[in-house]
Amino acid sequence: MDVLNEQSRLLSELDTKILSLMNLIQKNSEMQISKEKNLLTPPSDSSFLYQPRILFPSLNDIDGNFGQTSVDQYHLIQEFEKKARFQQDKETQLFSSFLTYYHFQKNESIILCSLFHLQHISNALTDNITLTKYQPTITNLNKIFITEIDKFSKSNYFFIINPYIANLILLSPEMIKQLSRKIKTALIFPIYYNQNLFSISWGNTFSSYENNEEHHWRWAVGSAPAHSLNITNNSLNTKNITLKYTLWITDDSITHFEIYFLNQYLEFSISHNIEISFELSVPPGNHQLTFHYKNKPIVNNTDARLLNFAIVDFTLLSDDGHILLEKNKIYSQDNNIDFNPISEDIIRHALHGNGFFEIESFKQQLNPIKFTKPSISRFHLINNFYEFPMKSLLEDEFESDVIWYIAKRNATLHEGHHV
Amino acid sequence: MSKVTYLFFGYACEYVLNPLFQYMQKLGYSCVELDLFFNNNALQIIKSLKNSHVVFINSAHLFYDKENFNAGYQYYSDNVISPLEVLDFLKPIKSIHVPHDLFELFHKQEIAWLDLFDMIFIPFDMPHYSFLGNTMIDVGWIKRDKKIYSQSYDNSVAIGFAFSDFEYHRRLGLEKTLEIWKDILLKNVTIKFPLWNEVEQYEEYFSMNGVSVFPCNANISDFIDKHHIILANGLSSVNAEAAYAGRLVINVVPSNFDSIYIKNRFKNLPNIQVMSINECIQYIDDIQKNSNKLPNLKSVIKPFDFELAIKNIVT
Repeated sequence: MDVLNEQSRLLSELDTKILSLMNLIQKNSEMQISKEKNLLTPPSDSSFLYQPRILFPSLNDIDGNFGQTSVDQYHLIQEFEKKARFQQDKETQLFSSFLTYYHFQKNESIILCSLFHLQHISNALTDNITLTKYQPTITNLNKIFITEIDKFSKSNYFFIINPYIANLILLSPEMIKQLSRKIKTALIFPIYYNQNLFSISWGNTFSSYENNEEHHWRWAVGSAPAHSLNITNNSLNTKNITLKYTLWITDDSITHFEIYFLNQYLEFSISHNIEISFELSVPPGNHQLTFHYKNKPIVNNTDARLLNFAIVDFTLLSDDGHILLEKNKIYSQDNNIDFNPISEDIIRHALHGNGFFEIESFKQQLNPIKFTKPSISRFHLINNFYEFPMKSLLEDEFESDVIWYIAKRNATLHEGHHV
Repeated sequence: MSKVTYLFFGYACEYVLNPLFQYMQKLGYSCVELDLFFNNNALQIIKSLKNSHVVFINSAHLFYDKENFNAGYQYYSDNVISPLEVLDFLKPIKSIHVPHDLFELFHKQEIAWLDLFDMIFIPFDMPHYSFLGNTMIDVGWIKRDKKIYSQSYDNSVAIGFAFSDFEYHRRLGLEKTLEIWKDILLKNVTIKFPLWNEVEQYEEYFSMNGVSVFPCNANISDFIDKHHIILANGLSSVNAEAAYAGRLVINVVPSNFDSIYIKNRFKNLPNIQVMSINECIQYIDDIQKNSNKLPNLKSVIKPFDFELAIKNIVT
């Protein structure tokens, strides 16, 4: 048995090293994309570059099949890990607001799963609660989570404050199953609420949103040579989309552009405003579309900004020609947006299929703090879950930021429930 | 500690705790029995126990709330309460799950919630379930309360039919059910129906039509002990109970059922044969003429150890 354990440990170390190496290869490769290829198509060896060598728990273990490729899983895990690291302030805000809704009982025990050491979070709980802090190792969490949680004894609650750690765990039925065995009462976690299949956020070298009756635009400003915006695919699978926009330029001479997106690349020169349309293959998660612009910015008579070029009437179309995001939503987001590819159905499916009988969920607006009434679903022998009592889940009542899930191992005794 | 109440919980023929309930009651323990099939005020009884010191002993499937019971049996019962609802509401000081089906101790979907019980009473040693982290206590088979004696013959072979899949047949109706099985039953075969909704009508109808009927509320072990051969249909617990008790079991598969599937499910069970209705009739004819052909089979099942069980329940 010891030999097997040692082999397993060595294999695990080897996998970690392979993954680091693959990351290095990928980064290096992205920096050296051949400029000879002038179409936005992936290089032929992209499958090698993006193929993760470690085995992630199969998502196909869940009935209903997420249907991702391993490349998509790789992107999702990378994205969740990256996003999880920037949640410190949000973790505090989320936890504090949850405590205004839910009250833990005396003598209950909680394992608090947070990426950050938040002393004041634990202070918010009463003295009669046994609190165990768990600061997970975020890199390769999918590989080490089960070993890490094995150290804990069973508690009433396992509270994941960081939405992206919750996302990572929800990707793996095996992690959920093992986690359920550490919980007597409920697993609690927030997930960002995002209804759009795609989101766009603009980097800080883009000026604020402008429009007139005919057009919508943002200017790329300043002296930096590169200007980026983020395209987020909020689904679990790679999507092919078409980007369509008009480039307004300020310089009558030849203007040279290079556009990068993952390992796809486009370069061209123009001397007048031009409408551009091209297809992109967008994996799950958040990815930069970067414009390299080599001309000098200008300052005109009426605008003191250093203007480079403007992206006008930016449109995202699905492969069957549908508009994916309304104009006001395309242009309105300045910062990094929240990413939530795991739908309501998939979350419930994953939890009900792995030891959580009843799930209470409710939406929350963060500022000012507001909650919807809870909706409940229960495990179902045939359909995986059913709504309880019979009403639609999570009806929109106001603009929401977060959905909270309280996934109970047991079921609440309801009086007089009739189907 | 203040007074402890022992709550025994289950549904109809899946409630198998009555012998243990009676045994503990006779010893002076404060016991409450909740067979949801008979009890129409289960909710009130459970509510009355709130904030008491309760030891919860359950033999019902864990996932059967009203909706799932309806999905599982295509039969809606307003009396159904899930053991998971009871656990959550009463927060018992100790919880014990006692499986009621020897053929399939735990449903695949049920395993996810077994760890919520402090103890599981199992009929034999099951080290492969240790991953659940519960305390597994080998107490023998709950539905067998006495030793099994070897069979004796008085020139006739006693054949009993432990009938199951009752909900399916209830939907077919009395006449159709009898029509399917009468060629077997009229060969001096005694039938025992499961304790279930509307079963009295079936007992009466079958009796009126010349079938020998064993009371549905009798202990299944008594029924097994009184017969040399046990006929069964479906995948019920009695297949395993009779086979492990050293009886020849013939699982009879009507022509519209998949006999290959049934054979496959029973492949690890000893002493069992799967036959069509016609094959079974031929076999009965043959064995009733030649009782010496009846194989001498060995019992491997252990009777329930009441003392050991109670020791674990009360400490």
